[in-house]
Amino acid sequence: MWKFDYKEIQIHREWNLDVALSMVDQWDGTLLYTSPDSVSNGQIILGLNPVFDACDNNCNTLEVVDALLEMNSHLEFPFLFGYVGYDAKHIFEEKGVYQNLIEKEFNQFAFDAYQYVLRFNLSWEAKQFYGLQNTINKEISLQELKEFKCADFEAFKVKYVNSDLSKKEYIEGVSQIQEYIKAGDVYQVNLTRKITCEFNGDAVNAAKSLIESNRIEFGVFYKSKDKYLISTSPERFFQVENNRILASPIKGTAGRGEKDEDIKNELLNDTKNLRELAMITDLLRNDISRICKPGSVKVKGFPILKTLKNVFHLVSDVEGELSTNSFSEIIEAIFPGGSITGCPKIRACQIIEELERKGRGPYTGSFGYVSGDNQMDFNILIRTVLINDNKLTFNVGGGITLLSNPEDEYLETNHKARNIVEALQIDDFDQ
Amino acid sequence: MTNKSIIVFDNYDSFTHNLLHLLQQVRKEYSYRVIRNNDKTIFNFQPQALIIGPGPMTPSETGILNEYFNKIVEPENIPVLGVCLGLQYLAHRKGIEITRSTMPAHGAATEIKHLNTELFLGVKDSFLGARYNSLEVHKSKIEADPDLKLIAWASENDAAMSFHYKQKPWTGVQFHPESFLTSEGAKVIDNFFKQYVEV
Repeated sequence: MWKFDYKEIQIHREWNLDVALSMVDQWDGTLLYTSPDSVSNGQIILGLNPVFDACDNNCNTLEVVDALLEMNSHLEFPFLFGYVGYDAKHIFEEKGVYQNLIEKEFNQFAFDAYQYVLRFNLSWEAKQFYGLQNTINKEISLQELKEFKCADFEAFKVKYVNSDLSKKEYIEGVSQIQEYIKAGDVYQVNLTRKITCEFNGDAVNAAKSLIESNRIEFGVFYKSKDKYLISTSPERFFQVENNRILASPIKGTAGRGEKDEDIKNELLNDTKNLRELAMITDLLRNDISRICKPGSVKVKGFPILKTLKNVFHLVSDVEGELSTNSFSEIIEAIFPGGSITGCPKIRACQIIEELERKGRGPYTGSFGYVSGDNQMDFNILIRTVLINDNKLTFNVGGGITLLSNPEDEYLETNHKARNIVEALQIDDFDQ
Repeated sequence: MTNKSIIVFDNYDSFTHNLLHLLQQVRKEYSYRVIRNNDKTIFNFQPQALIIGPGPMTPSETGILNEYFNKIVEPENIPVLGVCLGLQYLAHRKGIEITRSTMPAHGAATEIKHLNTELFLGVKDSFLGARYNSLEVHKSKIEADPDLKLIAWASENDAAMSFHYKQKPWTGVQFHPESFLTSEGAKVIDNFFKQYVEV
């Protein structure tokens, strides 16, 4: 197990999104990205050159991450970056509860410590740069970082292959969920379908296109062993600061338009959305209660209207005072995020297994960072595109309740795909 | 287990820990143990009270709950508060049929009326309670059973929202006292302890 020393460093050069994306591509790394017009007080963090990794290939649980954090509590900056994919849910639940459907192309979970961690404000002005010192891997010199030349982005082409589930299967799935709801099995289920495309060309350019297509609150560009994960997520799963945890589930989305005021009011008064948000708020209260002091868990805001570039979202804020600072205990208590499973969570996930019939991979898991002193910030991996060789995939879905209209729910998934389809100019996307 | 111990029976639900935290806030002097509905270690315990948490499915799909009632809860006369599925179990135990709700609602705060019995002492005559249920018991079925006493119902469709056994320390609520949408949850829990546990 590794205890790292670090140095604060300075690198005088030009920084921008293009440079960061190219560097991640060149050396493997993670870019956590918030766009300048963001509504949350986000930041930009760049991690480069992995010097330690913990993933399901080399460990069974996240306890390795805990142990590493414990040894490195002096690193009071984002130190470990990575994700827990949706398919890892079985690791944190009693054996036999789930079928363990696993999409094997990406790791179930993966965390990296990087040689360099660079923090920026939203205008790409350097805040703090850190370099880990006693690493064994091949190191990048400061000179290399300073002189790094941004690659020329090249063309890419994305061609639609198929959707799994088909339109018919998705609509049948919605009806099946409504039967389960009427029978008392469940209150709400998030049903998704996976879209597969053929990819050719420059993955970094594709990432740039996606990231620039939207206002980004909790974005990610991640490359590891020639695989890419690009997320333009608007949703925070949870944040830990000074022993307090905050969860901010989203339910309810409306596209913005000319009659913005009307659209806003309709969303704020929509029964389906408000009930779903209430349900998810109670669910998140429950999940964070498992790791918080009794009496400390509070609903700080319900509902909160969030205004993004193209859409409005309904959000709530649930907060509590932690009774543990163990990363693995926190994840075990609250993973996967309730806003992308349904409620009650376990029964909802079982129904998702039955209807989706496949793992989701990293999609609807969470990506974020942990600092050595246990500050954390994780998103929900929605609006997330995965590229592995010539294959590009992403999922779209929605929350199904008794008040859903099956046909409309399918259209809603197309609506949610629209941003990605347009940013990547996907040919022949099947509406 | 200490003298002052309570079991919270978890039906693999997503609200169990909200209920636990509410209990801990209202009565922090007790020790609480959350036990899942298939965990046989429950037979080692004779708690001061059993709280049956909410959950998915139907009252006959509550794991070893029925066996626990037969072996321990009934013979030892242990006080019980059933929440949602828990209330439905208490009705089901009397052979009352649980049916699909005429107004299924999830995450809805609905108006509840009550008879000012001990469980609702100090609670407004009509208050908002969170509903997360597709199944329900109509209040007339409770009223028709000579061993049961209906004490609260939904004003919108007369679904039973609370009842108790006349000869046993068992009561249930269909609404969710632990939800942030329920205005009087803590008071109901406090009343449960006063009426059944601390006597």
